[in-house]
Amino acid sequence: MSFIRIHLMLCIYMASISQSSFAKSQLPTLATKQEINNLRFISSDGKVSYFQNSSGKLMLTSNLKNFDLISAEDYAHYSVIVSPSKKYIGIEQDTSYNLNFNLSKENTIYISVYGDGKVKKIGNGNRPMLHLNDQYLSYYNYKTREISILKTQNLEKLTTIVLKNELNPFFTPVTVMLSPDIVLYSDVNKDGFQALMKLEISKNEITAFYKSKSAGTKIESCRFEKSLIVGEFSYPNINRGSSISSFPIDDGKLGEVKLLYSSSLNDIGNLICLSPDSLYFIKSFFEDQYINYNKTDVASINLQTGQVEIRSDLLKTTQIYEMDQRVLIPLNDQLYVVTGETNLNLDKLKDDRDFTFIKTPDEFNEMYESKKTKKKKKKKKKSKK
Amino acid sequence: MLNDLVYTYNQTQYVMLRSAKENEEPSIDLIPHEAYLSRALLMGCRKSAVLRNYFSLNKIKTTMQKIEFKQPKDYDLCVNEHAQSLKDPKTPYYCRALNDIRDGEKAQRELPNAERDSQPMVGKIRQRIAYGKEIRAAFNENQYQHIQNLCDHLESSKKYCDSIFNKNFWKKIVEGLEDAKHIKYFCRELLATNEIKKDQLEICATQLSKQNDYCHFSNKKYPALTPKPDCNSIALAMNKSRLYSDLKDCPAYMGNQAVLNIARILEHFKESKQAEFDKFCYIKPSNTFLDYNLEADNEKAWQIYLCFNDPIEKDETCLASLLGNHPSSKYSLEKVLVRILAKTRGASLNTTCEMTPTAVYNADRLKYKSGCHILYDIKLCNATDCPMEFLYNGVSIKNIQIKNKIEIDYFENNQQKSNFAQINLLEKELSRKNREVRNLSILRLMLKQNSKAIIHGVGCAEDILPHFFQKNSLNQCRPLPFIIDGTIENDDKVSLIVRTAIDDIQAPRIIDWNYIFNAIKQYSEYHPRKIWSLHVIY
Repeated sequence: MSFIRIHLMLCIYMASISQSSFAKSQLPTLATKQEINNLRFISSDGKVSYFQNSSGKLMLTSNLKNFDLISAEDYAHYSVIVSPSKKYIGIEQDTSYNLNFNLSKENTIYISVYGDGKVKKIGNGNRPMLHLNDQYLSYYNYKTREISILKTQNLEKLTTIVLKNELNPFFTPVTVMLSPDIVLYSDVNKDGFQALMKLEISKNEITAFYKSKSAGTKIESCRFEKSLIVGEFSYPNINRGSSISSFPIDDGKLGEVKLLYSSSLNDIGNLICLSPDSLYFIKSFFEDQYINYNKTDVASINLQTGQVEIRSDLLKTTQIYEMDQRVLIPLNDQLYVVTGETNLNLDKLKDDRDFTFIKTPDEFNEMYESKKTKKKKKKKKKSKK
Repeated sequence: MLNDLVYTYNQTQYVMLRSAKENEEPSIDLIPHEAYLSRALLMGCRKSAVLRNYFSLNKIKTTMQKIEFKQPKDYDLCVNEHAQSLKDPKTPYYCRALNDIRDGEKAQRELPNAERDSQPMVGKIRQRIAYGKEIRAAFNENQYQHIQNLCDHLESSKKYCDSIFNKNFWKKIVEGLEDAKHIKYFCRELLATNEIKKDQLEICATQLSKQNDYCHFSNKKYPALTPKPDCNSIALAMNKSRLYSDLKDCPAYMGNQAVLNIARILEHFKESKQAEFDKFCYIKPSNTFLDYNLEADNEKAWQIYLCFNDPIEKDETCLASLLGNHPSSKYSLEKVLVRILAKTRGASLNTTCEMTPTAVYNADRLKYKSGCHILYDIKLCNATDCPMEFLYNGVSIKNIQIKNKIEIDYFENNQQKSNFAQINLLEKELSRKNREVRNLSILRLMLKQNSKAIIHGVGCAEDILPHFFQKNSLNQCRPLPFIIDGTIENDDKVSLIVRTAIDDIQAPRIIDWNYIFNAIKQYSEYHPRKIWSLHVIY
């Protein structure tokens, strides 16, 4: 009997410790009528959604009509890219998703008019992106190290850029278009320095627009209508801190740099420019460099006021992305909403301020420290018992 | 207070001083850091003034010649010594010196950019470099290592003593406590030589300890994800790592990362010594994977074939092949080609086919007008794809085709084929046990109880390595296999020693358990059978 009791206690103990140390969050999660894992995009009003089924088909529901977009074999997996303009969509189709784990394999890239039931295959590669109000679509091919840019209207090729990078075979460049003639893209030199390169298509001229300060930092970029944002973040173990700068854009030309934010900690980054003036990224607020252990959450910067706010309380945020004016955090099997509409089951739209988590960095640290102290006290109590 | 002021010398400009004279209201003044340190405080504390003088740029070398740091004999003494060091008035001066040395190193890294852009602060950067170098020259190697350990771990006696008693991995190799195999690839590149002798090993180990940043972009010959961890982090991980790594593979050229992960697991349990393959670095793991799957009657796992029209069978025949040269494998490309030539062109089975890079090939040379030649461009080759041209007696052979597809069930994608999922084959063929790892407690327990156990799995690359891969749409996840072979703990926090299948096998990463847990959980949502993709094999 006592053996069974001990065994049972051991089982409970094993199950209770460190499943993983994710905190309970005040953030709302996204609620939809469809199963979230099958969704690839859903508009804020819930009227347009792209989703896939287990037999490898990508489908669209638009204003209560259903369309089959692409059919493939069982193991196909899709990513659907929709920009805030919502004129076109880019699709990446991986037909051997659970069979070939090659990060640099050439997937198939498609384009479609937003909400339309027809698709067109445009090439092979990865990471399609839409630019300049969806007038252009770019994608990257790891094998050839080429960024291809096409006009969405007629699929005419605008340009192809070959990266110089020979140091990191898994490097993914950022691509930002300032105008139909100017493309910014990131590249790595032979010593590990990244730079944001500027291609002027009409002059066929490439110049380095922004160079990283030291080897081993990554450059990210996104843009608002009137400003370009450039972030420099350190990869793990590089420890060169983080910075975010902005450059005004006037008629496709860039003005003087202004430092928006800097930190001695190694933020993850993942910049999102959310119109009209909110910049989101993943900030680190605690680091144990000895064992690469970080506490990270989403921060936002208001471009008008320069104010930095902490926008999530998960402590282990590693990814964020934007989907139709919502900023989302995928963590564990949940999809947390940092800002934007959360409940797509409701017919009535709610004010998103009801849901929003906002703290200044000081308030956030205070909250975190008090949680930590409580936890320690609990532990002490337990050990005394 | 003095300690703080000395240590923060470069970081603070002013000191806030609250003072009050008799019968007067107290006032608060801002006094420049330097002025306060040299007058207000040091005048009243003569010992500190003397000490400050001892550590000035002119005197520091003489001072350090008189100081010796002794290694503590046991862990308890070490903890005691750490506590004493915190009280020692000299400690802030050591740490300030270390700050200056590191600032000089940082300036050294900034210099090329500043020079290239002709920035006005070039002169200042050069001054910082010179200052850092002068301070560094005052410390001998032992002293320097001591102050690094002390100042980096002021807040934790555990970390301080761990780094003394869990000796630096590179040093262990020099002292013969660890096998030199772990360091040879770094040393070959660092010292630009193929043969590493004992004295060179010592030079190399010292350099790796000193040039912490060197490891970020090392081993360029075997392309993998960069930047890799720094040398200190690699040394820390290697101290607690167990994965068999006396081999060199090249993750970027594998075509399917599952092949590499399975090959690394197989090599770990077999520990077979094999020749190195400089030209086709993907051949060794490819052959390990192919051999094992054929032995397990799972031919479908390797669908890379040379196909030809068989004149006897009067049908297309396909022979499994590696895409390169392997001296001891019957699936080596040139051996497979000879078998085809024997069937289709009456060539002798003793014919040898030579693999020639297209850049070297010259049609006019007599050598290429006879015999069998395989032309290839190594830049376009990987384990699953390598465009080639076959020449036999000077004529290009057009009717041999390479068919290539590597699609593998790592976990059970469907019930009917579950026997051939790699996870089950490994268990059967290696006669090892296999079980799911659902939480950190089980993971630690399994590694602790079984000295040969390793954990392997598949998770979303964006969650395992969020600094490198970014999600930009809903339910995006790129599956990435990995192996865990140890844990590193600090206070109540635990990280894992991980080699993803895009990482250099000699450069393990230290990754937070939460990242791995999240990556597994996310990937399981996109798996057709929603499997839990973290297993231990032991």
